[in-house]
Amino acid sequence: MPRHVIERQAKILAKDNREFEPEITAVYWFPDDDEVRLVEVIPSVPVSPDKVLHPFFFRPSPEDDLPSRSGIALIAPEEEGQIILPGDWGSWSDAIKLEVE
Amino acid sequence: MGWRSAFLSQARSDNEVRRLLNKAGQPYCHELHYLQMSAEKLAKAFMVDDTVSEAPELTHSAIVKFLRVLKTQPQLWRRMGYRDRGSFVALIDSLLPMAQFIQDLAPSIAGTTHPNPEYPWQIVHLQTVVSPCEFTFHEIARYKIQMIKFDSLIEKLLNSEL
Repeated sequence: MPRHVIERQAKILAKDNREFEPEITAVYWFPDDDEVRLVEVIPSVPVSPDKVLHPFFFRPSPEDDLPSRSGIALIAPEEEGQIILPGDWGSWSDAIKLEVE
Repeated sequence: MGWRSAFLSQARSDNEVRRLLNKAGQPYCHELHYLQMSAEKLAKAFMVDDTVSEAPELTHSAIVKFLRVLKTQPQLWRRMGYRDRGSFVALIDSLLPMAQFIQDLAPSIAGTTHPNPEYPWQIVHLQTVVSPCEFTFHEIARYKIQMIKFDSLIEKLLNSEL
């Protein structure tokens, strides 16, 4: 799937999620050609006991303008830039912080 | 069958056993045990996909995060038959304390001093030990409205193509 389609969905989800979860302080997008990968920072989320990111995956929903699969993870602020990413997600330096305001 | 389908299948089966235990009038702890296992496997099913070869993580703390992540998916409320997005989000928010209680029922989280549906635990200040089959689990009693809503949400999730 073209990267710009993935990016568009990532931005839609980031804004949407901030609207329905005002506690979100930041959203990071990890670019990929097959799926939307987002990490959302929420202060009230407990830290991961094993220090590893565990995303939840949802199937595409083209009828809802979500053509790509999405992997979403919630982390605590102290895990920002620190938590270990899934092997195929790259590194924190690959992350793009999305505008959510 | 892939990991997601297998976890969903087992989660549905756990939920069925829970209903059988209810019909059979067995102590409530056994129902809670199967509810906790069903919800945990449901959450883990979404940590993988059928195309992935690795098993999901062996965490016992997936239920609450899973419910919170459900709010990030703008298509779910309609697919699951809820009236509107706002109601769905409000429902999830209202169920988080209940979900936390159920998640913490896992013996590895509850330890030997907190209620859980499998092993006896000690009430330290009373110097007494409690057996789950003789405990009422009042906070999450099956007649409580939040428990009924949680049950309904789990049921819908188990039977949705998400």
